[in-house]
Amino acid sequence: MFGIVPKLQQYVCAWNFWPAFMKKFIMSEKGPFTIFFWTPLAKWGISIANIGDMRKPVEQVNTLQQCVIAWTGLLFTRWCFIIRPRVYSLVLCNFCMAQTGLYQLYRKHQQGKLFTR
Amino acid sequence: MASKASGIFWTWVHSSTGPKTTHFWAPVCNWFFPIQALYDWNRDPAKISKEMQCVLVCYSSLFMRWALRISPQSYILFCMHLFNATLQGRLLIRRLTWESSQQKAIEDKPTN
Repeated sequence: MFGIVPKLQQYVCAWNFWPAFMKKFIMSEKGPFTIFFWTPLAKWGISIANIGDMRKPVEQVNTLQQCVIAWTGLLFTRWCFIIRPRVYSLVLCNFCMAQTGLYQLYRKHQQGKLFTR
Repeated sequence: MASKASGIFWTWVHSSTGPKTTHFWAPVCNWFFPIQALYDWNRDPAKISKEMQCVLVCYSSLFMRWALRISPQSYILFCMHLFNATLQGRLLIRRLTWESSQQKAIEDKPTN
């Protein structure tokens, strides 16, 4: 919209100490100055936040939210296999998201608090 | 007329992006995120996970941009992430406000 990010990209790429492969990475279509780089990291963030929440008491775990995370993760794991091109890193990301969600639900079930808000 | 209308419907049902495929249900199940945030409108702030809410707000904000940059653009996905970012952000603010009030209560407690 304001063209700030392309200008920043040009500015960073102009630094002399970058090797050729780094300049290629910075200027690429899926490089760190595009949204396509950061969206998979955001999805990994959900799994990491869930792993961090595993040390919290079970009462603080939101059953419905974990159901949604697990179900979305499983369905998108399947979706990643049927789209072209297949991106296996995205498969792994969604699979981990589903596993962390299912584990949180299992923790709640173990303490008999699966259906308590 | 009726047979043409039902033809369009059943053509869609049996199509490669219809309701018998994952292509349809994967984006639909994304809508469960904002629906969950609506269901938890009055959730006890002590039971809201600050980290998870931060991540969900960032996730939806980034995917709002992504939905407009992919080809073809997906305005439905954009709307879904807009709702999600707003509603999950509301839960985050609810938790932060509660933490702030708890901190204030501890500071205001008279020391004996």
